[in-house]
Amino acid sequence: MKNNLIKITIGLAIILASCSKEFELDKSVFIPDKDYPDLPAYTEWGYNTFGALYDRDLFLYNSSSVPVKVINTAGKTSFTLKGHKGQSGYSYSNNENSMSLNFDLYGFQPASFSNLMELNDTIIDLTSPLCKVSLMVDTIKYQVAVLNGTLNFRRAQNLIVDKQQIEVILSGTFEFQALIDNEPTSITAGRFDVGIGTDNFFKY
Amino acid sequence: MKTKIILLAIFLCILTNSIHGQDEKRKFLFLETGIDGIGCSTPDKDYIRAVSDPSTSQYYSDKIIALMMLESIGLKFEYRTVSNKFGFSGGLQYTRMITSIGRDSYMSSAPDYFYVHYDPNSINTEYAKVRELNQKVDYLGIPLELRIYPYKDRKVNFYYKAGVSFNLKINSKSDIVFYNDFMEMYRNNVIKVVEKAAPYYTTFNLGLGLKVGKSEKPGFSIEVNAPIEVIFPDKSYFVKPQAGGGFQIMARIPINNPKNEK
Repeated sequence: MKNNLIKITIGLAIILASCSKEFELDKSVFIPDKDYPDLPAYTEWGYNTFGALYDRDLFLYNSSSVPVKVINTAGKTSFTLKGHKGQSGYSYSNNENSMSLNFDLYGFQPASFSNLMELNDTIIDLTSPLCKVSLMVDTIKYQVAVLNGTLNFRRAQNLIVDKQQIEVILSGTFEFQALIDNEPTSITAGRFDVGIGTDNFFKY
Repeated sequence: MKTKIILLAIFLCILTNSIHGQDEKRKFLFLETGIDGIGCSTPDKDYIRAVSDPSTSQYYSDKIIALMMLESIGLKFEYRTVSNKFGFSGGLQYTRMITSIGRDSYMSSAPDYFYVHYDPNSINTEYAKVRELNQKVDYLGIPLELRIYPYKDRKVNFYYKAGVSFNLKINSKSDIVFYNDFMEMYRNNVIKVVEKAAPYYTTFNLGLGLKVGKSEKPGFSIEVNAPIEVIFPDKSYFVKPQAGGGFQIMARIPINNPKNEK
């Protein structure tokens, strides 16, 4: 009897915890940039958007992929932006030209998504041995030899709804030059404003 | 063009003077009450967050909307001239302006709440889930109106109306309906983000009236006002009113009866 009561209590706690998800806040809000109207403006509201110029092409979030996943495993934390390569990518809903950009941060070990607050005002030198960049276009993974560049977590904030923490908002910029598949490539004007909560933070 | 306006003014003066001899110069007191509904622009506020689903149709909206209602009572004095054809009136009017911002979730799958950003600081972005933001504002105003009675005085008559009113704020109160009741304790923190009510506003309106009862006896009138345009000072306030319509019911009391005086 006592065991059943404990099980029911735990079950209710799990249901209540899952109810705390705010689906409305998961949606992406596109505010066009003044200088690059195809890119989302730099914001710090957790609008779940990102964008960059891949040479002269666009790398953007889209409606069908989770724009960011943070994965802590094997002594590293991966910050992965997943979207689309090409024009008007933010409205794409298929997997054609899908692209993801991955930053592996070695030595950063967040226990939960709320520990991502430690990234507030952090600039990461992408040429540092503590950081590794990789890129995937469609299903092909490319090794990226970074020549120069930075990943700047300008601001980390707790997103709180009705006094309950829902996620951490990470807002920042990135820019680098690299040899991608031995071809010199520039990724410029990169910006992101994403929310990381229980559904897109993984630790295993 | 200027000459034409001057000639028209001179002609109207001569016409008024020529009719003046047969003018009955009736005077009336109006006690009135009315209600108007005014449409407002879609609120575009930094502190409100709600994402409309692009797949919703024009019939199943999930947008944030703003509404305005004006409830008024007033006392007016009307002076009629030009053979009872024109009535000029002015008086005092108390208006309660009720404005509300909410989400049009009728027949859509959208939630019936939105997020209000409050207590901004560098570490936290805090939202409260809110069903409605409301504001009640009391105004004292001076209405000035022109009524045209083109038809012969009968028991039931139609007439036309044009009016303007100038209104000054005397009191205001903002209110919030939270999605979760326990947020009531943070009411004062959240309400700080809501803009103040406009300190004054002006209205312009056109209308059609139905006069019941002969002029020399007490009677009543019903007026339909459309369009009514509400103009706020050129600043950012809680809502941006546009135009709407409404109606008024008026009790009419004749103050003098020129036929009996003769």
